[in-house]
Amino acid sequence: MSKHITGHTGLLCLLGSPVAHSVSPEMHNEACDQLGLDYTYLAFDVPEEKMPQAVEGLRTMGARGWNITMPGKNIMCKLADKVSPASEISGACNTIVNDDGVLTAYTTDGVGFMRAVAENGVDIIGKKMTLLGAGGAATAILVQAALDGVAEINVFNVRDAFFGRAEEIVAKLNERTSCKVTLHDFSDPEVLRASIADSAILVNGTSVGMAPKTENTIITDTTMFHKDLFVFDVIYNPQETRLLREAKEAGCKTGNGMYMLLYQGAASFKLWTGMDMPVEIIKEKYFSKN
Amino acid sequence: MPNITGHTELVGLMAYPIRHSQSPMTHNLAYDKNGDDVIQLAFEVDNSTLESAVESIRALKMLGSNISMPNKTVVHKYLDDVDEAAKLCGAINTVVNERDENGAVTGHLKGYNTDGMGYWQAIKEEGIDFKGMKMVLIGTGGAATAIAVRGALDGIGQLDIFNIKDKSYSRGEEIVDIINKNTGCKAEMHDLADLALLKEKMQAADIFCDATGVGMHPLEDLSNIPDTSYFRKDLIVTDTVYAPRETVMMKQAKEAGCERVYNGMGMMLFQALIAIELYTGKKTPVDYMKEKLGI
Repeated sequence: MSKHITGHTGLLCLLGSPVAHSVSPEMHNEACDQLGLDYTYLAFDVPEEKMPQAVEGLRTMGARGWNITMPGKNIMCKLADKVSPASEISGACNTIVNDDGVLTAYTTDGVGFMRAVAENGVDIIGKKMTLLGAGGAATAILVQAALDGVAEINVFNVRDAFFGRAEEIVAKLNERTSCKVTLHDFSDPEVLRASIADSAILVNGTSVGMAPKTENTIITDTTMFHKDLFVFDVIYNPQETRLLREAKEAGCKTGNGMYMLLYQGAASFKLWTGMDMPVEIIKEKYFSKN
Repeated sequence: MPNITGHTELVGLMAYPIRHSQSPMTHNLAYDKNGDDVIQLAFEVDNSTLESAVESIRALKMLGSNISMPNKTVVHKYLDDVDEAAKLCGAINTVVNERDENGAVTGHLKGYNTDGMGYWQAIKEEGIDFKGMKMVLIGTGGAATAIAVRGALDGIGQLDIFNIKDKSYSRGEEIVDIINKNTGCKAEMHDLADLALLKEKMQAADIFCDATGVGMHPLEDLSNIPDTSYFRKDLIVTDTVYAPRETVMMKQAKEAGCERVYNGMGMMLFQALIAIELYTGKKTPVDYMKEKLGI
């Protein structure tokens, strides 16, 4: 709230384009208000080619940190001085912490996913995951899950532009973590069926099934579901995709990505302030209308 | 009061030190009153980081930034354009990210000096027409030169600047030279130690301004003027100091019977309101701001 802003107020922000409709400013400003922290969180519409100037300015003006959304997630890793293991492996980051001019890049999208799964009462540590997709969201999930101790991950993707990058990330994860990661071509349904059969969790990390094309689903053969499977869809519009509806009908427990955004924000907030975001208040005020 | 959202726009304040500045409070009161979704934040920026900070006005699409010490005389290097008065006095306190016909910021940055504009706006607000007036001004610092140049450009007839012969005396001589070359005002530089001349000039003047730090902490018990006999009753007396609200010099003037005696609050307020208008195009209600700020 601007009435509290003084010469002491610190800056947090979101960089990307477009950003004006992001819920992040409200979420973080509310959290700062609740905790009495003297920061203001703003959104700046910055195209990729202007990121270096934006970052140098924020560094020298002493902004405490910032989030990055598309199209800045990859270049920001290169602009940072230090890079967290998850950001180094994925080549992407969504959070910068500025410690007296030293910038460290983190990615909290995957952290948000892991917390969202845990909030559903599901434990996937030491278990097997089937992950559909290799775009930005899926990659963040893949990397964090492997780092956090998921035992085995099978990634399925069509042979699109992301496939080659995914191969590199999978190789790094096999080298640096104890997780066994394998990349598969999505076009082979029997490999997918076999993977799902002994997985504890199936994750849709693609946009298939998102509004307005809600009639679509990434799993067209519902016999692949089994009742011990937790099915998670990163999509939250609609809240129940066709994938989740059919999984539920097959007896599966399901969850969606609505709170991934909140929890990635909470993880960034913790990195900047050292404090826990009051997520229940934020859920009620900014996520209940969904 | 509206929440800060993804639409909220930023105005900066770049200086060092700056954390204790009143400026964000003044600006944010005004933006809120005007219904603008804009906030001002202060950033600790010195000469070594000024260039990248100014570049970020463009990169972050800020509406602009106020500039204070030690950056006022340096910032012009990083701008696209400088207003004439700011150019002549060599100091900028406001950088505006100019807009296109649709109101979108362009990244074309222009520097202004609203300190001088603010001083003279405060005088106008008192119902005073200063065209053709004779002025005595003490000081050659940033505030003094801004007041001198803006006053000369806006129609002050004669300007006598006094300063002690310190290292900034030559700056006064330069400003006098610039004013005589570029404006219709007749300006002279004098040694403040010449009290007889000071008294003579003050007796003949319409308006007097002390633009030094004398009268402000730690010099709050001092005045540049030796006694009350220097003030004519109808002299307009101004001090750029606003803390304390009444300096020793102002007390002397009132004792001498002067009725129009003003502290620096008006200048401070109007330099902000003029900058705000440059950023948003909106005029802020003056009475509201005076009430809120206790002026």
